[in-house]
Amino acid sequence: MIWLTWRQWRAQALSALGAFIVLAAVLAYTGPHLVHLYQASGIAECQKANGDCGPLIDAFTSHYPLAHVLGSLIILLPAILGVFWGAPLVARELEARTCDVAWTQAVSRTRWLSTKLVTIGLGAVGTTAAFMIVIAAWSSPFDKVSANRFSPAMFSQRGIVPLAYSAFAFALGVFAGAAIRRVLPAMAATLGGTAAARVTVQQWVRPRFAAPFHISGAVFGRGASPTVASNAWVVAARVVDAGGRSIQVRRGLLRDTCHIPEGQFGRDSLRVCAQRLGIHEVLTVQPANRYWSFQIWEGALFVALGVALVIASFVWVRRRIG
Amino acid sequence: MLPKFAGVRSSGSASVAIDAIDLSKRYGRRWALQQCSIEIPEGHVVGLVGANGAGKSTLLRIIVGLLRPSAGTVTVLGHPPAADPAQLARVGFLAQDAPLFGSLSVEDHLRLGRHLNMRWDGEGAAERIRMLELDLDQRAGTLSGGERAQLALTLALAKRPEILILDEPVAGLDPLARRDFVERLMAEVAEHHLTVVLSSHLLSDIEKVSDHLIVMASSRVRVAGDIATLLASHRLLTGPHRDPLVAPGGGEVIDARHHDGTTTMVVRTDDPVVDPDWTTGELDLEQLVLAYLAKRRAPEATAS
Repeated sequence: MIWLTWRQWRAQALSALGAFIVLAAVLAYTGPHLVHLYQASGIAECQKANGDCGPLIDAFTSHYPLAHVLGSLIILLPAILGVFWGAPLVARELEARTCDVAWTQAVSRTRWLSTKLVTIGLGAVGTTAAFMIVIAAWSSPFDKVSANRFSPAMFSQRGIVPLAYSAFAFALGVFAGAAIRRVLPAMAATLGGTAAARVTVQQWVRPRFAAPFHISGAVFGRGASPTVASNAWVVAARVVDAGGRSIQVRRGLLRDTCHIPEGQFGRDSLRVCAQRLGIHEVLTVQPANRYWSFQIWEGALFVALGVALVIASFVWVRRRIG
Repeated sequence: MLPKFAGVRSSGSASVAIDAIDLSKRYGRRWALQQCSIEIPEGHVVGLVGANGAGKSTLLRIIVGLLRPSAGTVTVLGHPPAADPAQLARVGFLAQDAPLFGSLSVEDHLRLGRHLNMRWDGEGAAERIRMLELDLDQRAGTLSGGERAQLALTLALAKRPEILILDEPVAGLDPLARRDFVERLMAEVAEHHLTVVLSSHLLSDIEKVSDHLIVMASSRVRVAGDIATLLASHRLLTGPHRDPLVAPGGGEVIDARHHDGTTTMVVRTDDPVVDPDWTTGELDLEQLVLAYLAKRRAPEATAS
């Protein structure tokens, strides 16, 4: 069964390997230059001196727009593999009726499906891992200067969650193929389902893995106030009035309410005015030290969903088809 | 009473290869197969004939374990279909239109068979491919219909099955490919004493090779049995117009036609008909099959 699995998947596996080798070569070639640019940029010294490093960072990050493309690749790769490796796994056999051949040889459907699931599933997770590792290594200078790893965009590009997404998307593809029995609709369902699951978890589930902290601070303060650690995840920021209701701050309205004279109108007078009125900002924060526990929670969630889909796929292939 | 095979068996083998009891298969509200009960003895070649959509494929796919019946039971060589790899190994199947892995070569298909079967006659298969003059490196997707059918038959035979199930094996083939296919099949059957069930919507495809016959129409089995026995137990009677239809001398009227004041009827009876008003003629197989296929259109007229 392993022979047939490999023979049918060979071309796709080798194209993925080829794409990986090309990417790895490009990154190996440009990587040292990127490190050099970072060292020459003076950002490290600037940050040590607690200066305003924004312009330096902007100048540095503008060198390689490729970084954004690579980031998107890590985000999209699990879904791509689910669509192209997972969805056709059962559906193409049903569509081409080759399952009539495969399922009448002396191999049970359970063994047929489990061999394919394990081989190609591990292939999908391994491919995601390989791409993520080389891209993360290449991007490490960028990660140092700009990205907060706990921010929604970066959280799903690093750590263990991309592997869990990949396992989930693959299992979803297999199940969709077995349930829908047509390749193209199964691919569409896999893409849509993966996107929906990830957006749902990111927006509504991930913030609830642990109770957040609420931090209050003045509005119109200096810098990013109220201050939180740079690696914490600011889930939400809102401005509230003295009664705790969310409000929109309008400078004009504050000026009129506090009768700020024309000459004194500015951040300082607005801050004083807001304080007098009890208006302040409240941040919902997940502290930086929860990063790995959140990675594990989210990874476990997607792996659990994937396992459920695998079980459903076995039930479908063994009992529902036919 | 549902049709069962007549008791006479043409060879000494008495064991049952396929035993179906009240098999039914439903898709939503549509019945693809209804209350099918058949008993196929070992070592025979059974022709399954019926119009497209009569339920032939459904029955065959249940027998090989690709479909699950909605009701009823079937045992193949004493076991449920596709119960385990050992059972799968005993049954060879050639699906309709001979599906193959389009991107795999002829040789890959032979390897596939070797890897997926514990019992595999690789030498025999290679020999057959050589005789067919197939290119081992050619992709199956580019083979002609006849070559595809031959390769699929080679795969099914190389498993060294005890039962071979063929679903419309010659439907898409030109006359020459049809002849070659049937010749090869018959040579294998003779050599390995296989039980074969093959279906077709044309009687002519299967009457030369089968010794047993199952006629299906509208998802039901109309008649089943040993061909010689069936022919011996049916009479073609011609006589004066008769209404209501009652067979002279008893027996079941299968089909009747009225024309110019005379009635021609096909009657199932084991006794000779002695009635001066009626002339008895011998039925050929085609008339017999047509009578049973026509029966479905006027079931009330034939009720005895």
